[in-house]
Amino acid sequence: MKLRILLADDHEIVRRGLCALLQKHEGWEVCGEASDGREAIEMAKQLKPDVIIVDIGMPQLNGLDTTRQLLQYDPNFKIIVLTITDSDQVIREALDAGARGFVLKSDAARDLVLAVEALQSKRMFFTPRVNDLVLAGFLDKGHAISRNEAPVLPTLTAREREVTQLLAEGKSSKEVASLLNLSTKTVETHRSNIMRKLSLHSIRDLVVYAIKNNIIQIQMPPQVHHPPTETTVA
Amino acid sequence: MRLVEYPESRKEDPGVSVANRLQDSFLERDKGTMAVRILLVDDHPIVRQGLRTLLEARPGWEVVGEASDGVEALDKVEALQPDVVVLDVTMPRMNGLEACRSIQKRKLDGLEVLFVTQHDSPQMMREALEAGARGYVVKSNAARDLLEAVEAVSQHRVFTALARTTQTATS
Repeated sequence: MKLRILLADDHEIVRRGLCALLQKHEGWEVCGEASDGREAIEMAKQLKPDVIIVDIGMPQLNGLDTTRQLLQYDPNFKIIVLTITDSDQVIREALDAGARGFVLKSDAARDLVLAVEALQSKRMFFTPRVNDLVLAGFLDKGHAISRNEAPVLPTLTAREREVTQLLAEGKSSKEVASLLNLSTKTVETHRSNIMRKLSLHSIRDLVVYAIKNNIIQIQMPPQVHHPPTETTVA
Repeated sequence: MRLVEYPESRKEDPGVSVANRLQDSFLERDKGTMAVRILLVDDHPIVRQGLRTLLEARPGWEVVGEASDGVEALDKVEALQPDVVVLDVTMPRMNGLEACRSIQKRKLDGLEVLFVTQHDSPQMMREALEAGARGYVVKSNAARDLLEAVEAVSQHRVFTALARTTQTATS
């Protein structure tokens, strides 16, 4: 019987690359592809895959919240998180969310097959950096991972995190309501609660919070080199 | 699928190679499939794999090489003489904009640069075109726009597409 894998990444070109990589492996098949977290959850409920590969930086519902919701629905789901960064905070959140594998996108061609094999054998797979942090945390009673982190912020509910992401992506309360099948009034209430809990005063503050806490991800442009301009010395 | 074979002797002589490529292009165009030799440049192997899968499904198009940063791209441009360089912006060692400027300075006959990038930004697109690129496609829409973009730039037409808009123009 084939190992069935569900892929969730917002970039079709990345999904094509992942599919090509995974389907070379005998006995594995990609049973579904989702382009955001919400779609991944629906497909996982329907397809019951053996392994789910989830990108962290997805629109509408990011990979960490997707992982949390998937495991809340079925704690037996085996999830590998794909990420462009292995900062301490992202690692900690992925582990907290319940991911059993953690693979950097830049190393996916090398590590992803190993990660799926590990989960297939009921083991976990982490990059060497994650292993170091986990070990350090174990030896230091869990303090090492969070030592350099920002102070712990008030906890948002899963629904509040979803609303936070959508607002930070620039959607209006009406659009959020439509996406989440809620009334606009309910979204406005969530919005007020979020702002109050986090002591934020504007949408700009909310966007900064969402970026800092990996709820949304942005890519910085490269440093652009401009040729030196000629100057005249008087 | 590869429709045009280049004998070793033809690969060794750059002057003959350019003439042969032009001739082959005309022949393939007459048959309805134009041969395009493509160099892929992106620091993520998985993205290169995805791009390759998409491009090689097109009859006559061939990915002749891959590079993972701007420095490697410059070496491969010289060695492989592709028709189109598909270039990422953000890469280690040398980013795509710098690589594009260096490629333009070499004045390689017929070669065009197409950016495929995460940056869904008019400013970055302008920067890329000023660096000498003929095309600009956003990665999130690459599966939709890439084939059309490669076709356009391989015929020396401009193709630009941000996430919500697509514009093409003949240059």
